[in-house]
Amino acid sequence: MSENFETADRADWMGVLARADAASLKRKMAALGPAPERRWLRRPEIGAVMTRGRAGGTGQAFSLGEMTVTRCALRLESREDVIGHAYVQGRDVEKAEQAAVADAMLQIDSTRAAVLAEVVEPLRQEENARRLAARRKAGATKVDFFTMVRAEG
Amino acid sequence: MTQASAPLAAGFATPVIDSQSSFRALMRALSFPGRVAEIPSPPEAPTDWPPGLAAAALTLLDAEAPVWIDEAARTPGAEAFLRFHAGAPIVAEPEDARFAIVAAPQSAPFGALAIGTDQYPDRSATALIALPSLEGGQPMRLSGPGIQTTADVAPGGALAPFWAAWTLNNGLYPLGFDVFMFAGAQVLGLPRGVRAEAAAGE
Repeated sequence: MSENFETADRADWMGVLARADAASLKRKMAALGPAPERRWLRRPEIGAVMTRGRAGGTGQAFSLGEMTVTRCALRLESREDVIGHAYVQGRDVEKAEQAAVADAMLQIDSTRAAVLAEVVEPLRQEENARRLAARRKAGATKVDFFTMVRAEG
Repeated sequence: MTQASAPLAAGFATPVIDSQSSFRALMRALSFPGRVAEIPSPPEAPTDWPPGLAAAALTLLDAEAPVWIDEAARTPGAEAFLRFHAGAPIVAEPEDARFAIVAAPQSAPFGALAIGTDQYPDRSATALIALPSLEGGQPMRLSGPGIQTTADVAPGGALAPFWAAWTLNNGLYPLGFDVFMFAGAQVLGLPRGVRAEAAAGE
C-alpha cells in the first residue's frame, strides 16, 4: 500500500489539528458529512507531556513546563490498514477523536483533498489570525527603551 | 509511507478493567495448576492468536518486559500489536526475553529460556504457549504445590518435546521458567514447581 503523501505533510496537518480550536474543528468535521465508522485502538487518554526548549534555539535544553494533552488512536472500518492518531492540546476528548478521524481520512488518497480544503486549511487560517491578533495586542503595548546621553560639561 | 499489511488488532475495549480481570484469571490459573481458567473479556487478537494469549500479552507485557516470539506466532500484525498496545521490546534471542510467545511448541527452544539466578530466581522467563485446545491431547498427571493430590490435564498440540523440557525444568527448582497455555479464552497455568507425568493408567 502506498498513499500519496510525505511524513512531513502528515506532521504538518497533525500539528494544525492539535492546535486547532476544539469547537471549530468539530463544526468543520460535522460539515464534512456523516462520521465514518471507526474502531478504537486506544481510547482517548488525558495526560501530561513535558515540553522542552532551548534558550535562543541553541542553548542547553531545559524543561519549559508540562502541558495537558489528550491522545487516541482509531482505525476506520472502511480502510482497516489506516490508523488515525491524535495528540491534541487540552483535555477535550471529542476534539482528540475528531482529530484522529481527520488524520485517518487525510492518509487516504480519495478523501485527503476534501479534508485538506474543508478542515485543515480553514483551521490554519484561523490559527494564523489568532497569532496575528495576539501579536498586534502585544505590539500595541510595546515600549522602546533608550538611554539619553548625558550632556558632559 | 508504509503501513503494516494487516490491520492492527484493537486490544482491550476497556483497558483498565479488562487487564485487571485478565490478571485475576492468570493468577487463578497459576495458583491452581491443572484447573482451566477463563479470561472474562479477551481483546480482539492478532491473526491466529488465541484471544486469551492476546489478553495475557496486554496484561503482563510492558516496556520493561522484553519478549521473544517464535516464527509461528509472528503472524501479520502480531509484532505491531505488541509494540503499540504493550510497548514491549521484541528481542531476537530467547535468552534475553522475560516472556516467550510460542505457537509451535514442537520446535520452541525451551532450554534457552531464562531460568533466573540463585540470588534472583524471579529473573526468569514465562512462556505463553498457544494451543489448538486445552483438552484431547496426551493425558498428563500433575502434582505439586497448589494441587491437593493429582490433577489430570490433556492439552492438545504437539507437546511431547515440551513435556520432556518440562521434566528438565522441574529439576532446576527453585530456578526454572513458568508456563501459561492458551486456547480460545481459556488458560492453563504451569508454575515451575509442578511435576508432570504421562498418565498411562487411564
